[in-house]
Parts: sequence; structure tokens; C-alpha cells
Amino acid sequence: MNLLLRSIRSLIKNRFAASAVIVLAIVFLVGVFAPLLATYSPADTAPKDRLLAPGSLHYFGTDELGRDIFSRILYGTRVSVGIALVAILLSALVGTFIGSFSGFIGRWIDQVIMRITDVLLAFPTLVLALALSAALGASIVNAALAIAVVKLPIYMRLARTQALSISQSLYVKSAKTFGVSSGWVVRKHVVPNLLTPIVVQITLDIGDAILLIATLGFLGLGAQPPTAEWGAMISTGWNYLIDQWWYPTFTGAAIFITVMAFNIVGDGVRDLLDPKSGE
Amino acid sequence: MSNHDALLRVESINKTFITQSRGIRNENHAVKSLSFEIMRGEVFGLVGESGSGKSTIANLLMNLETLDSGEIIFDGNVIAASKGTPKFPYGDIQIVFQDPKSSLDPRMSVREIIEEPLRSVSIDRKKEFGSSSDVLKLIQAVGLREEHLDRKPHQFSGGQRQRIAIARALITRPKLVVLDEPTSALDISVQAQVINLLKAIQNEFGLTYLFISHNMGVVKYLCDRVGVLYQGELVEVETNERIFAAPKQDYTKKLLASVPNMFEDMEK
Repeated sequence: MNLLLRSIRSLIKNRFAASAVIVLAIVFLVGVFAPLLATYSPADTAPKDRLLAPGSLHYFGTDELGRDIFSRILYGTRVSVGIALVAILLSALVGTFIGSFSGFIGRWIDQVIMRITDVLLAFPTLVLALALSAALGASIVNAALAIAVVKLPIYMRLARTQALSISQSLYVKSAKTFGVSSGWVVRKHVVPNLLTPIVVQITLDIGDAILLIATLGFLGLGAQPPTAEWGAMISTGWNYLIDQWWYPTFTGAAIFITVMAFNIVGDGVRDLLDPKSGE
Repeated sequence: MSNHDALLRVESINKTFITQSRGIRNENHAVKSLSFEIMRGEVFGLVGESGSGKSTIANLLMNLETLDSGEIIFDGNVIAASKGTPKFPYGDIQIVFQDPKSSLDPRMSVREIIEEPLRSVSIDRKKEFGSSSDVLKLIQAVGLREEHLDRKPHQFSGGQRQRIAIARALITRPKLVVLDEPTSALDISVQAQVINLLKAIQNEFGLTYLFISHNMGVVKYLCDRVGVLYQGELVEVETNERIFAAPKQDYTKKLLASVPNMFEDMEK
């Protein structure tokens, strides 16, 4: 309740974040209601209408097979944003679980888990994502899995650090001197303090995951044709950039706006949830 | 000093920590057959350099560590022993830790923090001291205001946070409060305020203090009796006047000589 009130208050103060929230709301609505909003089916080809310029019939023009780019971008929202959300949430769930376990238990288990994250972090994100999705086979599900794995060490480390500092904190020690149950300690002290930075990290990572999905799609490792997916659309579209500028441009703009909005909102969430951000 | 006056009796307690690094066993006798008594209503000071076992004693008293041998008797009941699981009187003994930055959960409001110890005391006591008007009276007693109750710890200075920690310790109306270096994380100017607050609420609430410190100046100002701790052993227990006027042990003399005394003026 308090949090909702504070969020609204901080949004009124921060117009920039407020507009990003509105953009994101639109993106989500577009994703959910794509079938209602789309003027054409995303997969219907029309050879005689190929590569038409934007106009009243086709708002963003058509591609090399005569498919409506506007409708394909709308449907692409579902794929890109949906898969990014699933991948990051999966990664955060598994990573937080393993990481906090590692931090609370400590000893050799902690050592083993942390060396595994070291190995994962040694690879550049994109290279590892490419290698994984190539090894698993080119499909959108495998791309999501690859992104989840690539993002895993971040959540493991974050959760571990938090778990360590919480378990050694004086407020947990104080709670023990009051004789409260361990269930209460977990509910009131551990979970809220553990989850806050995780939530912030999730919002910051979604934008990154959308970019990764698009990159994998662009390289042919993500969504396969004829799925409407932003990265795959740009992959064919960039050949037409000189003569049919609208083909990759609108798709790229969709990626840019969505990722940007997620990043701004992520920063806003961080400021909001950080107990040290003053009022 | 007959035994029935004693609120807390610590009888030849021992605590050894065993650590193992690279296969080498390391034994650290943190507390060695230590005995002392704290009388009702007095302020008992426990002084010593860092590593002398002060905080281990606090942890043992608060049931955060288990004894290797010996007994701790509080108000006539055994509360800690090496064998069995004695009942710990939660709420009757409270502790104020050194660092109020870490001892208050950053995600809780001041009200939640202060009311937390009430969760494990009897319903009668909760009724008696736990109403919101009681909480209000309490925070006013420690020098805070009503509007502070809904704020978070990060919105307060170090001294104010320690006042919150003190209010939290007092909510259950404890008989004994363990003060584990309550001022050493604070600015010098704030230290004096907090010490004076501790002195004032001791009279108001009829408290007994175990005051753990390495600051001899503060100890001289606040404590009735002082025990000097050196490497886990009590080397000297004396009244305030005697320990400062005529320290018997060489270690006590060294300790007295090493600390600048900022509270000397306050006594006058």
C-alpha cells in the first residue's frame, strides 16, 4: 500500500520515468491485444503487394513477401517481450534460489557454486548465449534457455552476497535475542532484504534480454521463420535499407523504444526500492 | 553482597571456539572459568581491550552461543548451562548492540522495529506494555517524536538510531539490559547524549545494566562496579571508586593509562 503510494508520488516527481512507464504499459497492451490491433495476419503473404511504402493501407509498409510490417511488429512484441520476461524470471528464480542457498550454507558448497559462476562470467554474455543456443539448436525456446543460463551467475552472485550480509547482520542477531521464530526471521528480515536488489536487477535485465533475443534472431539462432520476431525481421530487412528504408527502420525503432523504456523504468525501480534514496 | 541480591550470577563459565583452517585445529579460549555477579539496580561495567572476550560474554548471556561449562543464573533461574536446554527468559534480558546501522532492519519502520520484541513475550505483558500509547510514551522517553514512528532507520542519524535500539530493548520492560559498547560507533558529541539518556532511563525504568566498553572514561561516569577482562579472564572486580583510585593489577593500570578521559569534566 505504502509502496504503491510512494511509486505514484515518485512518478509525479519524475516525468521521465513516468513517460517510460506509459510506454511500457502501451507495449504490454500491444502484446496482449495484438490480434485485435493488427490490420493483417502476420503470416499472410501477398506477392503483388511486396515492398510497398508506408501508407494508409499498410502503416509501416510491407516486406519482401508482401506481409504487413505493422502487424508483424505488433505480433513480434509478444515474442520478444514475452520470451525476455520468461527467460529473466526463470534465471532470477533459479539464480536466487541457488545463490541464497550458497550464501547461507557456506563452506565447500559455496566454493563450488561460486567457481561455477566464475566460469560462466568468464565468457562475454553474447558469445555464451550464441554458443549455447547454437549447441541446443536454433529455436525460440532454446534462445530463452540460453539467455536464462547467461544471466544466471548475476542472480547467483547477487543473492549470495545479500544472503551473506543478511545472515551476519545485527538485525537478525537482535531478532534471535528476542526469541522470535525462524519463520518470522525469514519472512520479515531475510526475504524483504534479499528480494529488493533482485527485483531491481530483473527490471534492468529485461531490456538487455530483449536485445539478446533480437540479436540471436538476427543471427538466425532465435525465432525461426515465419515467426514474427524483431531480430529476425531486421535480419532480412537490413538488405533493403537503402531502397525500402521502412522495412528495418520501424522494427529497429520498436526494439529501441521498448529497451529504452525498460531501462528507464529499471532505474526508477532501483531508486524507489533503495532504502537509502531519500524523500 | 549476599547472593539473594544478585540479579545475574555467572558461575565459572567457559567458552572455547575451535576453528579449522587448512587442517590445523585452532583453539581459542574466549572465556576462561569466569564468575561474577550483578546486583539489582546496579551498573556493572565490563572493560577490556578488543579480543578480551567481552562480546563473547554478551553473546553467552543472550543465548546466542552455548556454554562449554558453567552456569548462568538470572533472577533465581538457570538460563544457560552446558547440559540440557534451560528456558531463556526472552524479554527480561535485552541487548543494545554497538552498531545501530546494522542492528535495525533497513526495510522495517521504526514502529515495527520497536514492537518486534513483543512477539515472544506473554500476552499479559504485551497487553500491559504493548499498546500504541505505550510505544509513544517509550519513544518520547528516549527523545524521539511520534512522527518518527513511521519512518525508516536510514532517515535517522547514528545517535537517533541508537535511541531507537534502546527503545526496542525497553519495550518488554526488561530487568537487565546488556549494553555492548553502545556508544563506540557514535560521534563524540552524540556519545555523551546517549550516555546521559541511558543514565536517565535507568532511574525511570529501574534497570540493571551490564555495560561493556573499552572506554574507561564512560565506564567511570556510568558504572557502580567494574570488572576488568584480560584474555578471557576477570583479573579484577572492584567498585568504581577503588578501581580508578587504586588499581591493583598491572593490566588495569595500563588500561587506565591508555584511554583519554573525555567524561572527567561531566562528573563535576
